[in-house]
Amino acid sequence: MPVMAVSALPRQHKQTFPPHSPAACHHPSSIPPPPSLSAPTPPGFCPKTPQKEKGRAAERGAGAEGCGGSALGGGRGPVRMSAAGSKVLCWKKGMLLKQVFALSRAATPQESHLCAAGGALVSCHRQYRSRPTHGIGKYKHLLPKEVPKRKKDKVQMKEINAGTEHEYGDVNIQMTSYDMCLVEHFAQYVHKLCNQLSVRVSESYAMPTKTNEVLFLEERGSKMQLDAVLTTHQRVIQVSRLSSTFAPILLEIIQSNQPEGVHLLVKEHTEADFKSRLKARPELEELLAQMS
Amino acid sequence: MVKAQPKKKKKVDVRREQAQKDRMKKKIKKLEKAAPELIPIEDFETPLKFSDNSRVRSLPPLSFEETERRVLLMKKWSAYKQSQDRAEKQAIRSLVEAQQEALKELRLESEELYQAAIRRDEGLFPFERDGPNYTPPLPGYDPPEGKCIDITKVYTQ
Repeated sequence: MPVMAVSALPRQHKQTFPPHSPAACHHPSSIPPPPSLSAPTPPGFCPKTPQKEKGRAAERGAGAEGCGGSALGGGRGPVRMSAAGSKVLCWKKGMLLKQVFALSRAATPQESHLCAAGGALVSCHRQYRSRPTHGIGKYKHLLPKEVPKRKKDKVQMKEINAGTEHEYGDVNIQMTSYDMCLVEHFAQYVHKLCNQLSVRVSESYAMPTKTNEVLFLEERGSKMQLDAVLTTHQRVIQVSRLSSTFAPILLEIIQSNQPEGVHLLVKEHTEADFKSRLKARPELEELLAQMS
Repeated sequence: MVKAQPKKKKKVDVRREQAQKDRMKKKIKKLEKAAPELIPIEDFETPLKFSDNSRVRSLPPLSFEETERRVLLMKKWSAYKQSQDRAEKQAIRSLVEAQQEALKELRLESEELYQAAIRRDEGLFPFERDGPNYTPPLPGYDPPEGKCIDITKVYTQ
């Protein structure tokens, strides 16, 4: 339907309406129209001419878009009322009262953009640039500017905090084990502990799982037999701004609660640690090697 | 004739090399535009065989005494764990207090030593420790020979 309306718009426009009348077609939808236009004729009462009746059926769907589209063009010039055009205007008005909701709903993306651009009211007015009330209802320019949010957040390395003399920078607590549930529960415990002791946890993530095939040599024979397939799981909790006096205490607590089979490693965070989480790019590396 | 040929070769080579370099630079730019991706973690992906809903465990209904016993046991266990947690927190608090008091006394003794004590310890990290074992290692155990092959899936972008 909307596609038809757009194509139907210019033809209908030329046939039925004088050039300035569509500019006035928005009056009944939003602002009370000037007395010269509407006072004598009640809305809905229009002398139906055979010409207009023909176009009416097709116009119903198109009228909304037609008015919307033409309002943009018509809004540039000042409003010109004339008695000759009043009949046509009131017919237009009558139709519009039915179509006004259709307009606001069926607004094309372009129109809604323009409506929202200045933060004007949703029912897309035209600008009364000669009146002192020009720009009434605008508020977007008063709000602080928002940075447009990217849909895909690029995986960027956070700046590594070096730390001062009395504070450690980003410290990684890495827990490794063959048992996934155990290592996950321990990681959760360490995270909760840090929260309770008001130690800032900047990141808590999992490193990719490593799989190992263990083969052993049979007693009588030279063939290697598959013993087991072991998966090594690693969880990392990144802690920052750890004070120099509290760090040994925290280590002590973590050590005392370390479960069996979980290997603990506490070290400072480096760029290499971050890069190990990313996918390898062999093509890029090849090209870079060729360049240099 | 002899002079013209080497000149042509030089120009053509230079142009070709430049064209090659430009092409490589364009390729590099294209590849660098794509943001680096994190390796997907297999732990967090449920294997397909577990997504089948047809297998449902049917448990027998429990008697009243059994449910009561379980609830009371749960209460006792949670009370025990709570007292354990409280004891741990008390231990941490006492550790911190003792440390603060010691530092205060040290400050009264000598300012220099206090400042040196406050500084961060460079030898603390990296710190490595293996978890405790259930049983000590068997004496005189001869493990069979074998090897470990790393079959981790390599992801490329």
